[in-house]
Amino acid sequence: MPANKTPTVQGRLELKVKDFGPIVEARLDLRPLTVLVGPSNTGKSYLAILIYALHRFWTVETFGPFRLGRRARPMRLGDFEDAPQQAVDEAFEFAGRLTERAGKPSPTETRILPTSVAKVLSNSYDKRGGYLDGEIRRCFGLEELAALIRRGARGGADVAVRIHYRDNSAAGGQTFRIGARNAEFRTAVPADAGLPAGIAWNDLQSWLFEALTEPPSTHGGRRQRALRDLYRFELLEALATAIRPLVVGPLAEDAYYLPADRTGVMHAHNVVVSALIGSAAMAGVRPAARTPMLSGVLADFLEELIELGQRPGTRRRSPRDLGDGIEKTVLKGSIGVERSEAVGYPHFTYSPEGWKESLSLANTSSMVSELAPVVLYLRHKVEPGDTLIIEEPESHLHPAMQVQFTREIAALVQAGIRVVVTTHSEWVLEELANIVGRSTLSEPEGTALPASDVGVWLFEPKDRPRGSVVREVPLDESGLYPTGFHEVAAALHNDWADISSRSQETD
Amino acid sequence: MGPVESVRRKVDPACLVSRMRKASCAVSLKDAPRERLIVDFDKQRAPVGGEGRRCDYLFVANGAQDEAGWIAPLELKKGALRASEVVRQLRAGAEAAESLVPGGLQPAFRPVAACGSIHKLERAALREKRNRIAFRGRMEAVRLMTCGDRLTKVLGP
Repeated sequence: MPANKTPTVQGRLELKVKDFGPIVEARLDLRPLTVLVGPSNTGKSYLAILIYALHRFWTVETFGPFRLGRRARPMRLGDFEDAPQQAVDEAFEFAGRLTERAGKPSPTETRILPTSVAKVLSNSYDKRGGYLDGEIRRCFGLEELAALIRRGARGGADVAVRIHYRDNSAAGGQTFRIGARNAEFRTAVPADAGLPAGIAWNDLQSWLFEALTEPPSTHGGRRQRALRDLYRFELLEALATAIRPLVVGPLAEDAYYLPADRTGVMHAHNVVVSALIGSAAMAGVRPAARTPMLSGVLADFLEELIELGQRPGTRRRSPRDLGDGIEKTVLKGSIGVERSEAVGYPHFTYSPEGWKESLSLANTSSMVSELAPVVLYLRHKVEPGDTLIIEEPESHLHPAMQVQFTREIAALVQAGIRVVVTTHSEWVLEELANIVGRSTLSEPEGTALPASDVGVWLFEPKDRPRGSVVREVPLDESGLYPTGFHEVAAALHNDWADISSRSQETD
Repeated sequence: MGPVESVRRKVDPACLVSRMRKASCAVSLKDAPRERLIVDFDKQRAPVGGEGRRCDYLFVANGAQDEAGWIAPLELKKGALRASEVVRQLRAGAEAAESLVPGGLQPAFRPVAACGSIHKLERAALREKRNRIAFRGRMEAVRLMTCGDRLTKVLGP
C-alpha cells in the first residue's frame, strides 16, 4: 500500500443503488458538480434525498428525536465496549506518536492506522447503522424503510458508497441492504489506511485535553476505572471522527437541501410556524391536534430558516460571500433577514438595486423567493467542502436567468462547494456544456469547469424490470449533453410539420 | 402498381438494402409497411444527380389498398444536425425520387433527418419556408427523429 495514500475528499465518491425507490440500478460518481436529469418519476429526487441522508448520518448527531447539532461526534460510549485490549493499546500508541510531536502536521502528511484499530472503528460504525435507518426514514418522511424497496424487486434494496483513492484502489465505504423486515449495515474502514495526520491531530485535541487535565491512573477504584473508560472512549471516538473522510470522503461534510417547493415555503413559512407556535401556546387548553408530517428535507429546510432568524448576523467563515454573485447577476438586488423581536422568527426581505426601502419576500416575484434561500444559505451556512443540493434550480426562472444562475452554480463549485442539482432544463444543461467546453480553451474567459469535475447522469425509464436505470452522459460531438430533450423537441417539431403539411391541403 | 414496384424497376438491385445505418446512427424499421424497398445512395450505381449531392437513403413503401404509399429521403447523422446541410442533401434525395416515381403516383412525401441531437437554432431554421423540400408541387418540412428510433413515428398518416 502506498505510504502517501490520502482520501480524495474533493475527488471520486461512487454511489451504487439497486432496486431503490423507482430506480432499478444506478452507479454514479458524486463529483464536485453532479447533475441528475431525466423524465419525471424516474428517481432523481430519491437519489438526491439519499445523498442528503447519508451526509446527515455522518455529520449530525441526534439523541432520540432531538438533533444535537452539526459536526457533533456520532459515537456512544457503548460502541467501543467490546474493543479488544490489543486494539486499544495500538490506538494509544498511534495517538501518542502523532501527538507527541510539536505543532500540527502538514496537510500532506499521513499516518498508517493499525488494522486492529480500523476493525474496531468499522464495528463501531456498524453498530450505528440503526441511526442511518432512522435518518433515511426521516428524510423521506417514511415510517418503514422497506417502503423504499422498488416495487417488483425480488429481494431488497441495496445502497453502497465507496471512496476511491488517488491510486484508484477502492478501500473505504459503506453498504446497506434494506430487506422487507430489517436492514443490514456494513462500514469498511480501510485497513492500514493512511490517515491524514492533520485531521487526526485536530480530532485528537479533545482527547489530549482530557489526558492533560485528568490522566487516568492504572490503579483500581471505581472513579479511576470510569475515568479510564472515558479516556479510552475519548480516544476511539476521536479516531472514529478522524477516519470519516477515509470511509466516505465528502459525505463526512455537511449538506444542505433546497427542496423543489422552496418558493412556496418561503412564502408560507411564517404561517406554518405561527400555527405551530400557536398550538404549542395552547397546549393543555385545546385538544392536541395531530401534527402534519413533513419529509425530513422539508422540515430541515424550515428549521434552517428559523435558525437564520435566531442568528441572522452569523456569516460563513469563508472570506468571500458567494451569495453576492447571485444577488448581483440574477436578482439585481439584495436579500435580507430581519429578526422578529417577539419570537425571534425571521422575516425575509428583498431590496432592489437603487431602492432605499425593502420589500417583504411575500411581495416579490417567485424568482426572488426561489433564489433567496440559496443566497441566505451561501451567506450564513454553506462552507467550502459542504454539499449544496438544489432541486430544479430552473424553477420560476426565465431562460436568461437560468443560464446566469447556472454560471453562479459553477462559481460555487470553483469555490470548493460541492453541488448536486436535479433538473429538467435544457438551458441549464446547455450552459453547463459551455462551462465545461470553455475549460478546454488555453485561456478560458468566464466561468469554466473541467469535465472531470462535472457528472451529468441520465435517468431513463425502463419497462422490464419496471423502473429507471441511470447512466452518465458525456458531452457529444456537438458540445451538448444528450439527455433526451431532443426527442421531445423532435416530436413537437414533427407535429408542427404535419400541421404545416395538412394546411397545404386546406389552402 | 405501387411506388415500390415502379422504383424497383428503375434502380440497380445492388443499390437496394434492407436496413438503414450510417456511422452508428440507425433507423428502426419496426412496424414499417412490409411492401417496401430502401435505396442506398452511397452505393456505386445509385441514381444520384450529376453534381453528386445526395442523401443517405430513399425509403419507398406501398400503402394499404387505396393509399398511395410513402416516399421518404433520409439523412442519418450520429451527432448534431446542421439545417442548411441536411436540407441540401434531402433536396437531392427528393429530386432522385421525382425521377424514380411515376408521375401518376402521389405518395405521401416525408423528408426525414435522423440525428443524435439538434440545436434549437437549427430546429428553428428547419421551420423556415426556404428550408422546405419540394416534391410533386408540395413543400414539406423536414421531419426529425433520434437515431435508433422507429421510422413509423415520422411517416405519419
